[in-house]
Amino acid sequence: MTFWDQAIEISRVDLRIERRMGDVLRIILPFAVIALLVFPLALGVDLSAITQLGPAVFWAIGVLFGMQVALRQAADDRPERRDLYALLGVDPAARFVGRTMSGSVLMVGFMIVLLVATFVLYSPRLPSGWPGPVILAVLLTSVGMTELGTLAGEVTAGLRSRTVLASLIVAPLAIPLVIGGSQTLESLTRNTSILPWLLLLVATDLALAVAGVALARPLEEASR
Amino acid sequence: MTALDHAFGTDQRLVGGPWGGHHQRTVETTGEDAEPVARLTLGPADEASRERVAFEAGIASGCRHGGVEIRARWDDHVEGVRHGFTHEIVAVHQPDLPPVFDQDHGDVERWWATQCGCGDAVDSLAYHPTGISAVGAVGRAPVTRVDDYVRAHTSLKLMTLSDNLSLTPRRMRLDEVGTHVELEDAGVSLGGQTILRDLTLSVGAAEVLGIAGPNGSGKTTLLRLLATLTAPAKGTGRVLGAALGTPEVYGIRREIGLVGHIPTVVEELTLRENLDHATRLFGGDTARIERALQVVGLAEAADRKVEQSSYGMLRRTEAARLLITRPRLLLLDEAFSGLDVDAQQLIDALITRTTENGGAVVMVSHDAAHLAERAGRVMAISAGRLDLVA
Repeated sequence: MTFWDQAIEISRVDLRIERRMGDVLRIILPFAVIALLVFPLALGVDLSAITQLGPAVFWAIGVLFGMQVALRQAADDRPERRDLYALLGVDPAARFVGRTMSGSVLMVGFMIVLLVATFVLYSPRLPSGWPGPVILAVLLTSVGMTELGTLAGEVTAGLRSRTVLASLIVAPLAIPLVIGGSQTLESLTRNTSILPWLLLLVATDLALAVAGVALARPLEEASR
Repeated sequence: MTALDHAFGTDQRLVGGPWGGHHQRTVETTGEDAEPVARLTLGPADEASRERVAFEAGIASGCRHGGVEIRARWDDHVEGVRHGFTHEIVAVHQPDLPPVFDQDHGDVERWWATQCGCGDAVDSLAYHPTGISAVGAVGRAPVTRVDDYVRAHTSLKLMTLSDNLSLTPRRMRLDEVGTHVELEDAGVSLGGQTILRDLTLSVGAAEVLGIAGPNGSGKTTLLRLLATLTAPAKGTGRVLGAALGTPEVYGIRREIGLVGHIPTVVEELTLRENLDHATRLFGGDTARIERALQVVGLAEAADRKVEQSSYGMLRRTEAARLLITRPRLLLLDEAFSGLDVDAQQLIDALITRTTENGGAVVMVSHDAAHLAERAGRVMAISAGRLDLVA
């Protein structure tokens, strides 16, 4: 079985498990939408403030709850399953790629729903032609967040309190992604170039992908 | 009577020393008149495979009583890694001599090349009143690297020619010559604490080794060491030719089957989905899944989720997976505990199958008597040290 066959199989089964268990759809997403609702309630009836804060709240909620989406695999990753994969000859890098693929699908879906909810609840003012760049920024941020979450899961594999530790790793390292995503929206509003911010997102995604693939084997061996 | 007994038409019985340890043993092959026709002394590396013994005794005797003539050269040199050459030996018997052969060596060699695809590898031919037999080594490979050693194997294909000269395999792959596990003064430390110390151990092809010990004696850690999932902190070791603690082990992990304390399944999937997932990741034939489920008695329950399944069912799912992955080294950690008689027989069948195919089995348990029933050799582990029991 080739590297990509293994990655696709891991991704396929991961998505099947999500469809069956619904961690993202039934638990994380509703809570994220509720969190979006709480902000306007806390701000009172100042509609202009709500409109202005919409994009910032979207990214803040997106990153905080997105972390849960990104780390959900790490929480389920039992040592016995890792051993099984090793003895089936699964390349750890293929596992990283497969998990990133399935996680990205879920994360993109999660962020898109959150974006729609933000528009409904906050009515942010954006210039015409925003959908393309915004969706691209959301896509790149989602992939980066998933890579980061998967990598953090690998780094903390085998450790006690791994979920907490993984969150501590993800939060600071997600800063380039948050900046890239939020500044893309901001630049659109100010009518300035979004290219530097999209390039930041692409560079971060690539760096995380290279790190994830390169470190997959050593991290797996070190986790035992 | 085993398949090979039947094929050779001989009766093998063991005489001489014990099977295990460092003793040699003698196999005596007798004919219809109960007179010994061959004696073969086997070295310590050739452990506990009665069928293999039958085969080698058959080679020595010529198996004249079964009408099958076999001659084979068994070249195993200690050179480089372990064996200088490995052979795949093909034995063919043609009961009724067809005109095409006309007892011409060249004709037979050409036929051999055509039928077996093994070119110039006829090692010996035998003509006798009832037919002709040919034996040759195919796939002969000089072993210069560890990878080669891992890949190379010795196997037996005993075939008969049907009337239309097509080859019908009667028995495939008998054995691999070699030592599957070797530990030399190996030790394992976890979290700064020494769990295993000074382990010296050798497990040969077709051998079943039992290791008994109380809770906390290091049994599971030892199995993880042999499964290459834990590296030795001191000493050296090789598993299936790969040096422990080096990247060599990545290449042989697929050939190791580990049945641990806890059945290894993906909890959110059904039993069938678990098997399908493992088979796909392994690169196995998914068409064999249904058959494997039938063999382990899960055909009716395969669509149950893991949470709806009993412990025994999960163990059977693992057995089905091992039927598909066919490990050369089977590691069993208290694999019989909590199982009904049928499930225990299934694990027994896995052990037999592994050794029949030239693999090795290491099983650990706190119950030495239970191990003695199944293992050719039993060792005791206590406070991380091994001692021979029986």
